[in-house]
Amino acid sequence: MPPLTLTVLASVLQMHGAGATITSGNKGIEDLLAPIRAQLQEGVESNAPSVKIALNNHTKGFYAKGFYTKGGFFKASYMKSVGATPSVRPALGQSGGETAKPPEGGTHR
Amino acid sequence: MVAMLPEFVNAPINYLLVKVAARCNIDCSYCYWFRDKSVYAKPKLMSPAVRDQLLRRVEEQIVRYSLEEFSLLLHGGEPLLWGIGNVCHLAEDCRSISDRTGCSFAFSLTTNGVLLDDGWLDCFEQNTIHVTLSIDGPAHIHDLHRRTFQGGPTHALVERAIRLLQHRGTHFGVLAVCNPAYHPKEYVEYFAAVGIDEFDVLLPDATFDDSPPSIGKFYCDLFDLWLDGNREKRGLNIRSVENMVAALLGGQSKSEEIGYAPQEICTIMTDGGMEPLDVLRIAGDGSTRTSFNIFENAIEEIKDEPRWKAARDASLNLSDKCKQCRYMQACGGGYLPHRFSEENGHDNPSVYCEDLYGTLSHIQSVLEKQVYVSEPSGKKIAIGEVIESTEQSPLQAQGA
Repeated sequence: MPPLTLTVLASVLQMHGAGATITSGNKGIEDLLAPIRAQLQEGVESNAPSVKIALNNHTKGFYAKGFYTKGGFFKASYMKSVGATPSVRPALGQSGGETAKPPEGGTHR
Repeated sequence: MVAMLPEFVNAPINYLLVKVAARCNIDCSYCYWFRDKSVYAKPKLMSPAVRDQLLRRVEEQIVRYSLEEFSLLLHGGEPLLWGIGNVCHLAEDCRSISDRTGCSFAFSLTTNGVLLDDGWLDCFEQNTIHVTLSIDGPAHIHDLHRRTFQGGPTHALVERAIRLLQHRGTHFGVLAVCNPAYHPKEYVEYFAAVGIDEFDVLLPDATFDDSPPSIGKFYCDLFDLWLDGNREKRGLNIRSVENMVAALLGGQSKSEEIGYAPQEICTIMTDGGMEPLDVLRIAGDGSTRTSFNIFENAIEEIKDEPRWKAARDASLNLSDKCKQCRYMQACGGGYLPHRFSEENGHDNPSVYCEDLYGTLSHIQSVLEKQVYVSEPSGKKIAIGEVIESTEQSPLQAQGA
């Protein structure tokens, strides 16, 4: 069996029709499935040809050895959810602009 | 099979690993930091002049890129050697930056706990500094490597720190280092006994040229313990295990230790030097040395620094073996420092490649049985069965 990438899961759910979802009886696995279900749902709603994930969290600073914020870790520290999705405000006088783009990552296949 | 590689967005740096102390007050035998002796040429502690310049650079970065959040991890050596006054001063100055810019700060500090006292706890509480404590499980494992300079044990001192933190109701993280000579049950049972249900067990640092003992069975067993600990209710959080599970489920690992993602850490040294990820120094003396420093360079300029760029490129340009691997994305070649060899630089799989492959395979085999497709009718089918029963799998067609 191939690794369970989002693309694999999305394809499996597609085969089982609307309303099908992925679950687990193990509470730990179930907890880790929650954000993945949300990403899959996002893919379905946007009718995306493939499911994209926001890999940008990884490119941001709050990911390193041990440090943990909402978006990621730094291995050397272990911080319990202190806000931090990639956080860039639009520059003054701009409604968007390059620095204000929401996180977008590559396609996870 | 060659998996398609994701692309990554270039985002401004909003996180720094700050070495406020280059020395330590204990003498851990496995410490990556002192494997590179060039660290002894650095000032023992960050001076007020460096601290102030760092804050100027941080504010400059925040304003320039309109950052809403900035994170600082205070690190060492042993960061508590820097002193309560310096940490409080830094936090106060960050509050002033926050008032001026609207950017919020997240602080974290990783300590061995030996110097922790009520004064420090006041400082952490007043400044909302998150604490991470290093302890390798029970005393007989911890004290093998984490000893004083006189050769004495440190476990009792760290346990004292745990009690202090717990007495004050301070949430703290716990980091242990894997010792594969012991069963992970010893770590899990010890942490449960002292009231810690959320921790990590890090891979021992080693380069591709080293011959570390196998850690595969340890992590397979650790996963089994995690699985069992979460069977009825959510009771046990082990970060490295959860990162592997999340990565195998198609999600994201939340640590740079595992998973395919760029290595973009910027380390600020006690003299203001700017370097890539600190653990990369296990490659040898001066291996992370750069000519960049916060007096001459803006934070974002680290992205133009050759060694920083080389580390980032190496984290994404995996070895041929990794590119062919079915777990390429979940593993990401392992932890970048663990890929270094004198012969090939970082163009190797992890020194723990076989162990990681074995562990990921073990976890995958469990997920195949314990993750279900649930249909609206209530029918549940193990995902392994679903995929295996698909003769002409759309997954194959999509190159998954």
